[in-house]
Amino acid sequence: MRYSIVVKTTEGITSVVDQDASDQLVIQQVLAGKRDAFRLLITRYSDPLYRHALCMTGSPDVAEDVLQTSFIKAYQHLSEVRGRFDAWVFRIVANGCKDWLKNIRRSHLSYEEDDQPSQHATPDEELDRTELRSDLDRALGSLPASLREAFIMKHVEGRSYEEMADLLGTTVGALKMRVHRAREALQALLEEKYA
Amino acid sequence: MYDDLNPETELTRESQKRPTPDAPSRTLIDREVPLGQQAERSLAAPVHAWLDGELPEAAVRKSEASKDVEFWRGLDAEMARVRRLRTPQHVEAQIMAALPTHAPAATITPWFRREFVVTPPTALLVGAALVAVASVITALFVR
Repeated sequence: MRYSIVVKTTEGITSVVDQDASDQLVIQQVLAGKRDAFRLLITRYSDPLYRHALCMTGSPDVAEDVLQTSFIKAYQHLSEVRGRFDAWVFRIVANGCKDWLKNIRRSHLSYEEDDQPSQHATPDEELDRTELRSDLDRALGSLPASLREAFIMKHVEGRSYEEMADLLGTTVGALKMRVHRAREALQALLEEKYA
Repeated sequence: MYDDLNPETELTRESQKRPTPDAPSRTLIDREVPLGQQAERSLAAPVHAWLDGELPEAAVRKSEASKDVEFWRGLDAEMARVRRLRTPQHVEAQIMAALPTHAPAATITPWFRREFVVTPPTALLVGAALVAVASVITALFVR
């Protein structure tokens, strides 16, 4: 029996298989020239990918940019999809986030500039941004990218270690270590205020 | 005019400095802070096990880690809000508008790069074929 406060995966294995078959059909349609069919893939996967990019970059505008660039890249290389589309496109987004994190230092762009509220953010989204959320974002941003990525995948996206290992091409043991280190670092940063 | 091949500038002197034991082993990215300074706080193994879904909350609460459980409960409530976030509505249209107008190019994979799936019947068939070929060759040599 599994106990958890974070893993809230509702999809069964069957639905994943069905979804994959359906994705393959859509891909065939797009490759055959039905450009609009690609919209279905965007609708289907943009939410989890957007959340990943948002947590990794800490900026709604950058998350939108990463998402857009990734989907364009996915469209251009659609014929190269091997296996599950969602896993493939996730890797594109995850690499996009990591590239952005690398480049931000090189371009001397400060996070503070990017931390400005998105011009597209709705009042609800702004209201949702509690103090704890801001502190959590800041604490996450202070972690090395690999720890941040592992923590987000585990605690925000609710993925299993096996799934994470499959997506990131690493071992379950290494990922457990990253998540554990991230938890300890986050608790050290936040517990004084929130414990 | 000659190029100065060994300029002893402030910058090069700086880069040649040996790393001190306190210095992080690699360049940190922007807001990153070296973990050594903050990760002294270690979580008890049962808390990690609970967070990984391997232990029930009650088992962790009994121990001295109940304060940690409260902390992570609070953080999880916040992360639940993040889990409900959705892509802004304009993004989908923006992506569709930015896509190339032509269909993505279909790549032709040469046969030697194509995926070859070995199922048990295929393996048996290939095995039987190899045995047959080997026996034919052996029979030819024996004669």
